[in-house]
Amino acid sequence: MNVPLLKVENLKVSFKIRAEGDMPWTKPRVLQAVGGVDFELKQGETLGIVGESGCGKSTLARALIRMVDSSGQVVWMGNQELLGLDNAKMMSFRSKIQMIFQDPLASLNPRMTVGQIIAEPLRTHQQGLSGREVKSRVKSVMEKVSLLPNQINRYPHEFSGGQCQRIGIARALIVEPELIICDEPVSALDVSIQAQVINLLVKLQREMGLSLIFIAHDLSVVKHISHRVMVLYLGKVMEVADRDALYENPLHPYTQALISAVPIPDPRAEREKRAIILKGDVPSPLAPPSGCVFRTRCPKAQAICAAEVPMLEGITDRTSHQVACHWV
Amino acid sequence: MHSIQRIVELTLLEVRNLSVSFKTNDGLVSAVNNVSFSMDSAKTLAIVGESGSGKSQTAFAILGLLASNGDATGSVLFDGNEILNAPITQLNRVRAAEVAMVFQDPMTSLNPYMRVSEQMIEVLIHHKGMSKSDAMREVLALLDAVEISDAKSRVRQYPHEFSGGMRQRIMIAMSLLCRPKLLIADEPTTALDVTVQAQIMALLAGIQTEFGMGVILITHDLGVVAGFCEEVLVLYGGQVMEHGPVDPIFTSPSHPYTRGLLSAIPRIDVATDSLETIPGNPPNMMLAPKGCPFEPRCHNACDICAEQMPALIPFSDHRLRACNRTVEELA
Repeated sequence: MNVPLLKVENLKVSFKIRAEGDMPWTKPRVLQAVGGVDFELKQGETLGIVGESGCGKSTLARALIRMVDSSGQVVWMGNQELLGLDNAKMMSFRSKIQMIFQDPLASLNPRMTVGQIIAEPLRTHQQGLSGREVKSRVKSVMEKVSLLPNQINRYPHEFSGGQCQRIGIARALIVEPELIICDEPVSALDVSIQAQVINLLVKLQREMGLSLIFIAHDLSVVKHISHRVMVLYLGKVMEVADRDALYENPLHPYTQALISAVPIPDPRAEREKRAIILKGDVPSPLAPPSGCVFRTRCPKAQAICAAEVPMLEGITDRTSHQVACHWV
Repeated sequence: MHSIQRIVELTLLEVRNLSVSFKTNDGLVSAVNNVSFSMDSAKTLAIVGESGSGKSQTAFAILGLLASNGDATGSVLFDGNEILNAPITQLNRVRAAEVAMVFQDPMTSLNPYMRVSEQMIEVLIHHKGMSKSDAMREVLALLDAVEISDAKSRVRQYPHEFSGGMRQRIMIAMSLLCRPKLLIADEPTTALDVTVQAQIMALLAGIQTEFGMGVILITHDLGVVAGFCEEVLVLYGGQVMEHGPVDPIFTSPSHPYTRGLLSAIPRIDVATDSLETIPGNPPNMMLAPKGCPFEPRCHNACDICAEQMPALIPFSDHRLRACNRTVEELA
């Protein structure tokens, strides 16, 4: 399959921010949450997106399903541009792209039964179905995510966090999507439950040939589930590469620091590890640094980093590994 | 005789049969059941567990910070004195001055209406009877110690003007003001990003050795535990599952729960095809189980496990475990 499922070019999202006390005629400040992101997603592939809070990973996901306005290009299957579509035309693509959210309980309507919640996308996208058909589809998808079909009339509060996340996954699966965007799907779950949900996502992907965009701040989880990984910082792509290339040979100083900061659950390895400890915090996206956005915390920063924005370029002989740094 | 005295001196905190329960509209919820452990001075102990395991409530009970519907029984000896359910005047002498606490969310634990300087000076004036200017000098010294740059001008700011990592640094500086003998850190880095987490943990480790205080780190993150702590206490369903030095717990966990937990985390340094899972869900504390709380999810459970909670017994060098099966019997 040569045509990528999704090709994103120069995707930008910005928000207008009015500070408290601003006069109505003062010009609002512009916060660039996503500053020109390019990537491709193949069919059946998982793209992991990592970065610290405020790096624009969730905004990027929201832009892809057009929950926020954005500019640039999002091309579906090589021929269909999604950002320019009107709402009616976009509807037919919405069943192909589904989303799973971070907070499992908050993303389910507390007044609807599990059956109603899972059936809702089906009632929206395939309105001709009879009630009986809907019910049998709901039950089969519940089985797929290991929920007991006899729980169909229960309410979300009767379920634990992990089960609620399964309900969210079932709701995404019922319209048989080709792409599921998972926004921090396991970060609210306990370790023992997190493993169950990750294994479920991997299993479903293999069975149904799904493509996943997996957004998380936990680099170990992303490593486990992804084929390719993209590292974001302040709305810009720092590095994108195949999973093993990125984790074994990270080239960008930010990726290196990020990976070395992850604690390893092995006392000996953890004591011997030399973590690169970055100074300071992520700068405000309202006033991003000039040139390379990472330069204020970068151990390698020089004058050129403040003057010029580094391009995201493939490294010699392996174009699939792209880095945006002057020193690579 | 001499050696006994030495041991008494070294033991900083001794918790015996601590149980915590809460009266709720739906009945009595027991959050902590019969937890016992002791800790020597200047050591680092991790209390590890998932949500609802009782790790935070154990810490709150030690410092008398339980919610008003909570009730703690048992005994907590700090430096040889009983502090569990102690009168508030005695507790206030212990809190901050001897035992300090750092909470998970630095924004909600700092007073948003007070400048950082005011809330920090208050501690010293109250506990040490210092003058304002002496207190200020001490505050600035500690803010420097936690690497807040330009402390002199920033100390006049309000908590919202700091980032999450900075606020946690301020919390840590604040907890150190009276040079406590014990610092209890309740998930101090859970709300922070990994790079900031690395900063804060490095800072805590430095301060722990510099000030020579004991630290109890409450966390669910086994990675953080591995890098920071000397001893680990594993809690599940309000009961101690395993207790011992950090290295053997990670290399040869003796309890089915610890084993499950360790194999369920994806690791950045090891490639795994599929994660092991612990089946089922965490226990509902409303329906406290008669036997071992982990029994419904345990691969090694036998008939007796549902009936009887095993005692926490020593089995090898400084290690304790609570399981009806022997280590050799575990699959």
